[in-house]
Amino acid sequence: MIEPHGGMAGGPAVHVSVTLKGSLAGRFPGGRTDVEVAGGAAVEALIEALDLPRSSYIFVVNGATSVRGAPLRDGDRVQVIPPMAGG
Amino acid sequence: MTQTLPVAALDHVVVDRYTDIVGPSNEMLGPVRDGGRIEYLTVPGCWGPMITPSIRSGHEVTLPVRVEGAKVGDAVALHVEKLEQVSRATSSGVTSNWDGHFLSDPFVAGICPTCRDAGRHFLYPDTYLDGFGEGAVKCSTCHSEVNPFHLVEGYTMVFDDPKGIGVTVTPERAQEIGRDGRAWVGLTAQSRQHPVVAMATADLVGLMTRCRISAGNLGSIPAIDLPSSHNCGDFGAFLVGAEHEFAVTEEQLELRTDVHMDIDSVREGSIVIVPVKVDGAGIYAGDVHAMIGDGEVAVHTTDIGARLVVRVEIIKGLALDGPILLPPADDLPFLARPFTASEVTRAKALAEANRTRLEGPVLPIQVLGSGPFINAAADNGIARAAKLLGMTENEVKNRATISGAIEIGRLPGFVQVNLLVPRERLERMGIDHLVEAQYGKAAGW
Repeated sequence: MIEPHGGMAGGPAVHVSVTLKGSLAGRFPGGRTDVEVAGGAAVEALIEALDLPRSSYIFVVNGATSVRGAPLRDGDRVQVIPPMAGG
Repeated sequence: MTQTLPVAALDHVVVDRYTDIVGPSNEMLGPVRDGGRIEYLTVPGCWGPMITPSIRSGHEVTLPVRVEGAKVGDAVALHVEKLEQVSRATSSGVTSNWDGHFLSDPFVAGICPTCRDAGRHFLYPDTYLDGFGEGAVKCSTCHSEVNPFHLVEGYTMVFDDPKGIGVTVTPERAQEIGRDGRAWVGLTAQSRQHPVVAMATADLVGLMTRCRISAGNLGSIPAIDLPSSHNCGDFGAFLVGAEHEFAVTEEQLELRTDVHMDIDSVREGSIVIVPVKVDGAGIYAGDVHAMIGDGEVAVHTTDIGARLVVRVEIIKGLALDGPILLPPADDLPFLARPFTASEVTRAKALAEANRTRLEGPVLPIQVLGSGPFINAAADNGIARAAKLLGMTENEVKNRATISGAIEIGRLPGFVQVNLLVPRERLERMGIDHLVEAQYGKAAGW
């Protein structure tokens, strides 16, 4: 568990489970980790909480794409996808 | 006052010039007349440009060609008449981003961190190759390593003379090929990319495979300037809110034309029907692959140079959001293939015995969709099909499930929505003649 981090203060801490995809996956076993963030923290707070490089990310929260500023809620399942293009 | 003289439309336009950005700011070549042909001499789309950070897309495609008479709100059918491989070798493999060597997105905004720290110009650095491997890409100003990508695990492949078989080679052979990279890859004089075989990667040795050449990019320019690799809903999603100059809003991303498809059925004999979002359409091509397995799970495959000939046909008044694909009949999934006369006879008898009338002749269509991840791409394809065909989204889902299929074009988010649809819907769209030319008239009705 990564300890409380980021975002606007207010309300109890929330716990989210995070899966890092693509080239980020090697940062944790299976690319997965649990994070505790301050209540009211936005999705983008995960960048700092997980010490990720500054980059364009896509955040998928509970199966739907999310804007960076959306608030995290307790129990959210978040996927963080780093920039990719292929072909 | 200057006067622009109209240029006569040509029967045949040859294209051997390239760009990284696609959109309204492009110089358009041609024009080609409706019914004329465009011959593209393409260069590898991805890996070579990816190790050339002055190419602002990690992607090099041809300049677009204006189609005389194509207006916004029309569509253009692209008949793929010829697709031939030029490259004799290529390298590819799984990538990871090289942190510190880019702003926001390594495909779009490579930098030289040393020049940045020294207060010099650092964005899109000019580079040269010094030896082999991912460290060979050096900044022309300070000579430090500036490759935005690691080639984590890859291979170098050579092809036989008819370009029908590929074999991956040893590290020693890969280095020999890398020494004369431009010739092996078949880069043309106007191409700015480094030959990817200079990576001399060889983690997978002695594998044999078949070639089946397909065009990863074929279509029309978007209504907003985009890095060509990101003219699609999956990779394009990384432009939203990015820190570089090509950042867009979600609304602006809707102006894309989904040309970066990476669908293996975009091959000789296919027809791609594309939207016109800028007058003249601006038809461009590139990113040809020697082979590509469904899903392209490694994200990269064998990028090659090629000769591609398409015939253009304007479909007036067919407003599309994204492309429609009519693949060669062999590529249609089982449930989406046209019925035989015998099947229709049996279905008619069964329907009559149950006091039901069949809906009429049906033919296949493939509507493409893209999105940040595969479910979003499927939703996009279903929504597009529903709008085009005058159906509810639920009807599209039902049809795609019981008389069609959703295929994965590319991960993370490009799909093909296959449906058998009543011929009259295709007639309404003005594409029934194309579908019948591709698959024959509906039999037995």
